[in-house]
Amino acid sequence: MLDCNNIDKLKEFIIERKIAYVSDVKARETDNIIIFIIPSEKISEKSTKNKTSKRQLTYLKKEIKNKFDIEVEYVIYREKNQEQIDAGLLALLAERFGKIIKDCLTSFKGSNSVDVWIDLSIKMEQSNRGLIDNIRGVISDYLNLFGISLRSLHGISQDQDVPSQIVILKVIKIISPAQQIDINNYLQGINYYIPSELWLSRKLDVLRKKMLILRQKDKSYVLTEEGVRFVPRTASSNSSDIKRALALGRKRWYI
Amino acid sequence: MQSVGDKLAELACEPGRKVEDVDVFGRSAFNRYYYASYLITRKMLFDLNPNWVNTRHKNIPELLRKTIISRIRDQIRKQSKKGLITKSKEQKIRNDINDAVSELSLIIAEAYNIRVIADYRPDNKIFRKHKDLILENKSLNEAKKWSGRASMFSKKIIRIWKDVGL
Repeated sequence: MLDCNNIDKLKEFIIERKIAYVSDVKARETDNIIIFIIPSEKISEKSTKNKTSKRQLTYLKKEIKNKFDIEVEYVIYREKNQEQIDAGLLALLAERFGKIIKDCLTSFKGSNSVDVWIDLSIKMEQSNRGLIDNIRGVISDYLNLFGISLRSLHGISQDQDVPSQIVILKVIKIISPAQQIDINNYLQGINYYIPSELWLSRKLDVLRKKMLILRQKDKSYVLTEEGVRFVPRTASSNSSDIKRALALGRKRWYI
Repeated sequence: MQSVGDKLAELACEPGRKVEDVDVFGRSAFNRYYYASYLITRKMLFDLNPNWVNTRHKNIPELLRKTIISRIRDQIRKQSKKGLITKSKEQKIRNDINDAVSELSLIIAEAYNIRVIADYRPDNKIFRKHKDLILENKSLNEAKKWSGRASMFSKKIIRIWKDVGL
């Protein structure tokens, strides 16, 4: 049960702190949670007199929990004009870029700043940089018509980009001792894009110079002790320890 | 789940439907839209760590905000210190994961709140507004987008998780 005294104190706290951005407060008795209803236009990137930020909402939630032992959740509702801007953007991108953009959504950071998320059917790699910049330009121009600025553009694509250093290190841990071509094939097998042989060779050089891998006489790569410690351990099916064990088992099986 | 939600929403919005029916079909549509977004998030949690799959619904936002962000931050700090990523790359990953997690946790928390109201607060009635239905200030057309948004943010979180070697 929600403690009435605490709720009264919470109400006083809201008035005292001049929290003007909450349009309504509801108590959810099924699991003792207080819900603050907030219009999305009241949320901006930075807190101001009548507005708050998503970060500030997280702090407020913690503060209320510590002070009054009350769990607070937020319901944020969007204004109609934001929905129209959203729909217009999706239609524009579909017309200009066709099937390249599979999905697009916006997240308003207040009334004049927005994050745009796009799901692409192409890779976000260097060779597509021109196209990505073109998409960014179209989105910015469209948003400017409404006096809104593009805060950031997040792209997601089906295929992986080029592998990070840690991903390459992890692959070497799984299949070592491994020749460069084996590392290349393994990475491509898990959908990573390798720009060239030289590119991978440079990445391997960096790992070697950082003392995370060794190049043996037969040109195969293995992890150093530090390299083994450096690869993160996880509990998922993606765990390098599990994959290493399976890879070893497979090798023994085929010998 | 999404298609069941869509069907229920269509039934609720049919012209000439009785007020009581609009309310019950509408509530069920909100419920299904919540579960559509929950199942996407649950699948993502399973991919990150199978032990997280049974996290209680209302604790998911907290798990996202605390555990997942801190594991990624630890990794990029370590990699930046070793010189495997630049400081600016570290900052970019930090911003990207903060954005994706904050968006997903807000959707899940909000969708859960509305789902609970839809299921357990019959006194909070649904009302029509133009071609939309509203429950507790939340529009059904907006709820329809929960799963699409959850899917986009989940993909981003998984991508970052893998890229940092987790």
